[in-house]
Amino acid sequence: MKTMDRFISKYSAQIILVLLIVFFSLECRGRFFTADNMITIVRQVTTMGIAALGVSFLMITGNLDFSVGAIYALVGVMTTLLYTAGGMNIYLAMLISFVCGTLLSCFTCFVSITFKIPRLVTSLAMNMAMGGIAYLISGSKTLYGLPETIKWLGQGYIWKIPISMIFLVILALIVSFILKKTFFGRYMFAVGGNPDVARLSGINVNKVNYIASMICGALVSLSGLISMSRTFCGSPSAGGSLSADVISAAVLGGVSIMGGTGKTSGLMTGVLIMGVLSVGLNMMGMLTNPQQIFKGIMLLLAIILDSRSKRLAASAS
Amino acid sequence: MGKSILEFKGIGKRFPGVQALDQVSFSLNEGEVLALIGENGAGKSTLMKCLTGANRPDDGSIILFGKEYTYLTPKEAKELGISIVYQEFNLIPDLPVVENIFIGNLPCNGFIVDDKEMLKRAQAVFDDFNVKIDPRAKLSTLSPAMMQIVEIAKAISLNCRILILDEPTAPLTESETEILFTIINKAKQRGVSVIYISHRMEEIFRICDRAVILRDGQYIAERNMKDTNRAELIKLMIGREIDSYYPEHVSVAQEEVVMEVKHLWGNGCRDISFCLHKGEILGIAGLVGAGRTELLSVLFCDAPKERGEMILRGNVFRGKKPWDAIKKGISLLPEDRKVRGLLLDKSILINMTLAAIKKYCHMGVIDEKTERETAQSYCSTFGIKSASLQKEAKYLSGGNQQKVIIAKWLDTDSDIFLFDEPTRGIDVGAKHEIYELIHSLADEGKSLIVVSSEFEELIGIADRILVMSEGEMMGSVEKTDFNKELLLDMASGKR
Repeated sequence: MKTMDRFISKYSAQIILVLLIVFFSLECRGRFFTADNMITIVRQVTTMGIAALGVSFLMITGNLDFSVGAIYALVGVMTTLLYTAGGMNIYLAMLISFVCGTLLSCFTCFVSITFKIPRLVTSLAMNMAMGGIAYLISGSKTLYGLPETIKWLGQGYIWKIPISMIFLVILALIVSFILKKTFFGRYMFAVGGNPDVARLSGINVNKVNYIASMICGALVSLSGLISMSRTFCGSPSAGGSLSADVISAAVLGGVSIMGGTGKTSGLMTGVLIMGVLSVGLNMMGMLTNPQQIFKGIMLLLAIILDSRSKRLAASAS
Repeated sequence: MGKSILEFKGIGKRFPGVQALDQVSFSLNEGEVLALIGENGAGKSTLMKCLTGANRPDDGSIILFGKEYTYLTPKEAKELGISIVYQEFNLIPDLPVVENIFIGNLPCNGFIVDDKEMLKRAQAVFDDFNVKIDPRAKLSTLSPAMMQIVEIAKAISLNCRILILDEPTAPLTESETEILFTIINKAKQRGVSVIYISHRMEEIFRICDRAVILRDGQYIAERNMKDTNRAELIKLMIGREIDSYYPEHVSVAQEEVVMEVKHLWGNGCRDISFCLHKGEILGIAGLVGAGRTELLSVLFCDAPKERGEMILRGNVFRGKKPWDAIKKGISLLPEDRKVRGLLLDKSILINMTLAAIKKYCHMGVIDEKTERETAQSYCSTFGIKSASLQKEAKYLSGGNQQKVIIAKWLDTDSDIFLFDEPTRGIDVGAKHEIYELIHSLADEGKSLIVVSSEFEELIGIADRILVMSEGEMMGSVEKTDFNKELLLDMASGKR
């Protein structure tokens, strides 16, 4: 019984994923569990997965950020504008947007640290401001006119495998390595687990937070560019519910909202759960709005499970 | 002595893998203060949880006021007048004192809280205790001692008959402890029985009538306080004799000064000057609020210094942040190890190598094999009894937690150790080990500053004691002049 419990709590994300796949396979009578459909799901989740990798750095250091959706959209809009209206080389435009997205995430961190405001609050304000900028400069329209040369990033294949997916896998391996095998990973877990202990152990907590923000900004910007290439346009509404989706995925995958714990494998499972859910619900014919309700409930459940397991662990001590 | 109001009869409680309580039987009389003593893990807390209804015993029964129960629910326990005061307070800092006392039990006229009645009753309790607490003050403005009193007032307001105090003096200074003792005596006169759990022997001898000793979940013995002595109780608790309470140690302090502090101001410290010699164990005594912890923060560069100089091995030290101090070989064992010392959810290994992890890195990547071997060797030299390095720090005993933190600092090649209350909340056997560890660090030529609220402890282990009061240094006492009254006098502001 005890080992069973431990198994379930250790692999809860994986179990949920399998249950969902089984459920949708039965419900959609063989249309769901097909190679094509699996590829669709994976393609759908690549951009979200890369953004989630970035956000995991923040969550592990104990910060919740709701501004990644705005960065994601802003990067696409900026690149498209710089190319179409500014006549800039497309790769230069992408690079500039990428750097801007990274710096904006660092700026959120700067405000939080300087004025000692929780990142959650700062990022909500930043989300509004950056979202506003994206709508303003695009005139609230989806911008077209990108060159064919950038299609490879979001739509290209190598031996039938989407390039963006290769990106995701490589990045996930790198992130996993950083978290597990480097001192910076240790520092992040320490800062998220208990900033006082980290500081008193000689760790420069602010520096760790800045680096985590920078990596998060960079990965989110990259995913924004991939999404722009895939949809072949710059849309101010691209970010949509990304921030919340990514946090749901992370929490479902066992990354704690309290900071200090999380694994890349869990995170990726969480991302797949979100992908399976949205594709599956679409196949069942559920409309977007009810889907939102469903996802909201999922996030709620994930957070309850997270806080419950924390409390269980605390009472065991 | 009053009649028996509570009797444990053959109480047993099993948890997976351990027999936490085994056939425990004893009784408690009306108006008695009973010490319940034993090492950590002896079963004191588990037994008290059986009484408050938090645990359900597997065997035996509890006879309360003549009625036999196989178990109690928390609600029954409360209604029967059993109250427990933990060392971590169960109070709400932002509410006024009076509401904290009556929360969950507010006197009401219909839906409206009767503020006047509440104030009157709170005031009556405080008057009875002869303490000056404004019932309207916000709780967070009170000192820990006063909060403790509020907790007890809360219990009394619930018409408590049996009051359980779990390590009540841990956060208190000696003078505050006096106030607590007066109140315990008042409660006793009202016919309230007190079960007093503490590791501090001198207190037990002062306040308790009788002691029950538990060891490994079993009832070992009981003694009337006037018929026993400290050595006997310790022997009963740990099942063997400790040669002496504080281990013998010949001072190895050398002439060489490793740290000199000159006219240091900041973080509440005012004009502090002293020297620390190589191999010296320098105690810092004082009451709560004397600025001892604050001084250590400044020395460790965790709080800014406003004026003054710190000279390390002949060079002026101008560090701004803890990592500067660590680079110069200074380390801090913080007062509250669970909040500031350890990553509780992380393993022994991660905690031990956290401060010096870069030492194990090649191009940022940790050499896990060397890391593990080093941690393993610390565990064996310090006798950290744990099955695995992967065990999370929160599952370790207080003594082992301290050892993990000390190992962390040895790993950074520290040679100036700042220890803030190193034995707080640790059982007798482990305290002894920590004292020995402190001595062996000094023998190796490390220099230590030890802050403690227990004067006796400092007298037992230090080579020299500095006394602080209200942020100022009152003076330095040499080992030949060690004497508790003198220290207390100085700590309360006499030079």
